[in-house]
Amino acid sequence: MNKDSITESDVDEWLSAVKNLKNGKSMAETEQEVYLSQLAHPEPFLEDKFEPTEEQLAEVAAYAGKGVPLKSDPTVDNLINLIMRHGKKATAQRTVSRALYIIQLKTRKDPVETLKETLDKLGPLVTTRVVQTGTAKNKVVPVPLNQRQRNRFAITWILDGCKKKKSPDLAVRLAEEIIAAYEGKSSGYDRKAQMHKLAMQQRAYITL
Amino acid sequence: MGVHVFGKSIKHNSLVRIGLAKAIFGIGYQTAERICAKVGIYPQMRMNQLSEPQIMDLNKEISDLLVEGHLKQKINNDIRMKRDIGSYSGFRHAQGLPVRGQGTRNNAATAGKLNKLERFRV
Amino acid sequence: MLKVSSNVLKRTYLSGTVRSFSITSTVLAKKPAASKPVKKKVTFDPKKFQQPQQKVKKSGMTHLEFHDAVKEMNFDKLAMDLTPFELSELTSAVVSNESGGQVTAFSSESAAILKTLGSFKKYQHHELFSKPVSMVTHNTALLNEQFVEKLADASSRTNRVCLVGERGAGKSTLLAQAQALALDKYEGDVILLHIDAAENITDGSSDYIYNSKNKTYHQPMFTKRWIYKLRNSNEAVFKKLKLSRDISFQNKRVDHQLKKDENTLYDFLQLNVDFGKFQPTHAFSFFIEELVHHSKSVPVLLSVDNANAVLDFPVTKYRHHDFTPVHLNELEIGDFLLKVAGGEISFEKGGVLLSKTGLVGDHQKTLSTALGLVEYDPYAKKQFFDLDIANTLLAHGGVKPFTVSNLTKDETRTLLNFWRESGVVYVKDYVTKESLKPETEAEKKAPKPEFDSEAQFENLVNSYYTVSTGNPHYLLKASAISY
Repeated sequence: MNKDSITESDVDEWLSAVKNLKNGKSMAETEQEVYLSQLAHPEPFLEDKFEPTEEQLAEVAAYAGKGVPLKSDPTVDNLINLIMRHGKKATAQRTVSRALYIIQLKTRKDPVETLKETLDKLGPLVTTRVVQTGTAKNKVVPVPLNQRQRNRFAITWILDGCKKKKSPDLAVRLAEEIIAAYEGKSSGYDRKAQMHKLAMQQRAYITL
Repeated sequence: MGVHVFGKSIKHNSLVRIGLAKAIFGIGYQTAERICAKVGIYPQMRMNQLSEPQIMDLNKEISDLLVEGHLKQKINNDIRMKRDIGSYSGFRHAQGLPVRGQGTRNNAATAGKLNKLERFRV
Repeated sequence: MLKVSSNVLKRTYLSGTVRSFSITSTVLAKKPAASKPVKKKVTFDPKKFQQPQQKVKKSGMTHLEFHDAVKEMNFDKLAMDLTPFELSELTSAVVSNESGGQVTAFSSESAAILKTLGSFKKYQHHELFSKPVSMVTHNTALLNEQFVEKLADASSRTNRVCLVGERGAGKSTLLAQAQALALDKYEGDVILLHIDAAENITDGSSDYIYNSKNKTYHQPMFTKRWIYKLRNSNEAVFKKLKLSRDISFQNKRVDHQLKKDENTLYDFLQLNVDFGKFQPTHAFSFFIEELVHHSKSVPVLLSVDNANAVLDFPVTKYRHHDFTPVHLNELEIGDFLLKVAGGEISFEKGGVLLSKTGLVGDHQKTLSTALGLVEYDPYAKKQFFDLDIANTLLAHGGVKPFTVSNLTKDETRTLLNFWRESGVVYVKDYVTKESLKPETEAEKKAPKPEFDSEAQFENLVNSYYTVSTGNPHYLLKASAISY
């Protein structure tokens, strides 16, 4: 209620409502009476109890068994974080978004799927690690890579490939390199083959 | 690739007002803009767009100013004059020390480099 | 060997005059060096030690940065064919019947004309579609009713509108739509004068030559380019308009005489291409006078995009000979612009459509005061407020503001639906932590719940509408250019 626009009749209504309630009127009828009676008996409103409606229950049922949506795709996030320098995440996000936009324009497919496919194609399956034997010779042991490790190799190779592109804008260079890798033309494939070859040579050291 | 103005070669794709300021001793950005306005060169004009008469005009305008060798000569003379009248700043110049009351415990390298009786070899 | 010889030498020295027992010394004696070479000071020469620089051969599709690359690389050729959508062309009929937004294509003739005029701009994402499309919204209908319909009835003095609205609200798009609607309504019999980036007038990118007769500066380079665009896009109209008086001029050292009622305006513009480069001329003012003369029969639409970039910043980058800055009204084009926007020059049939840009001039008060959006502040600083320009705009009944409002929810849904169908926006299920885990055997066998694409689309409409508040620029940014 606006304080400035209170008229005499308003005051009368409120006063009559107070009077009625004092005289023992059980059913509140007017707006003022409802307000005052609720004020006099606040117990039901103070109860910590929540009864969902039918609609709300249906909505809950519809989302049953579904997880909380992630803010962004983890693969894209990984790429963003590897591009990020000096903690400037927004800049990295803009770069990646623009690159994905160009990829979308070029391939006319969902760019995130294109990116994932490319990383899957380019990522190596095994790498080799040097294990110190303590005695004479160190062993070079092939180690399988998990998804994230594979992506990391693929992304770093793509970022290496970016350096050879002409454009001054990283977004454009990144897009070009990802498109090239998607079409199977990136120099990263040589490095992947080299890595696999080394692992094959050292396969005798695999312990199961 | 360079365009020759006042005997200096200036890069062909630089803006006229920037190129003049960078190339000619005694002309800064402000002076360069003034010269361009006087000659009627528009602000975004580049060196390679200058016509022959415009270059002549520029040369004429610049030659009216105290620039390059003459300016260097003047600076040398001023320092020499200070020394000759035996003023403190002249003395400091000759010593290669800061002239304007700075300390010399640390950081007087620039003074050491610059403050000489003959600052410019003309 | 040397050791031996030195011993021998010693012996010979000691022996003095005694005959030597051996002749080895003389045999082994070194021939004295002719002259001892001066020992060279060894200095470090970085040039010698420098690795021979490998010239990295840079490959790639383009050397441009993002915005230019996107525009220049002909991505629209790869876009989905829009013929199956059967988009209706942008006509007055479509606009008057719109409700909840309708995506329309520009007709091929008007698209060609608008492209020449530069009405399709760099940041409008035209590369997403195979041909220029735009959505007819409530703004279009309103502007059509308030402005385009009046072009043939009212003089440009009484028909002056300025588009205002937040960044990305669709002001430039609306400008293009108004032009297309004018072309449609008058079946091509309309003269479109369009300046796609007004800041080019004042940013010092054109040469400027003083004309002492009319006390203004010619801008030959800018005028020539602008007239070239106008000539090509209005070719059909200009060829119909006969000159109203004789004119003679010189071009490339050839004298030309154009006759009244015989030669057309197109002839004039084709032959007279220098606007003050070699000598002061009145070619531009002659062109404008002709336009004013012919505006009795053909409506003239002057549209200026980024108008606040000149009206709010009237002090130009140009300088007089005495280094005082040149004011907007001292430039030939700027003067014309102010006179038309202020109603001093009036086309008998026609209109003036200005448009703000959301990128500059947040603190400037001139245009907003003139439009009546901000109260007049007599204490405003001169750098933020130019009283003369505000008064000019307010003269003859003033310029009416036209607020370009954001899309409604229905329009947002229509637009997003079009983007979904034309492969710009992808509707897919949310990624969750659970969905990323590799499936177990049991899960593989279990029946998967069907993905309800429509429900998800509705979800996306809701969330994008909330994020962008219906602003088309941020809507596209949220849905297609941010990951």
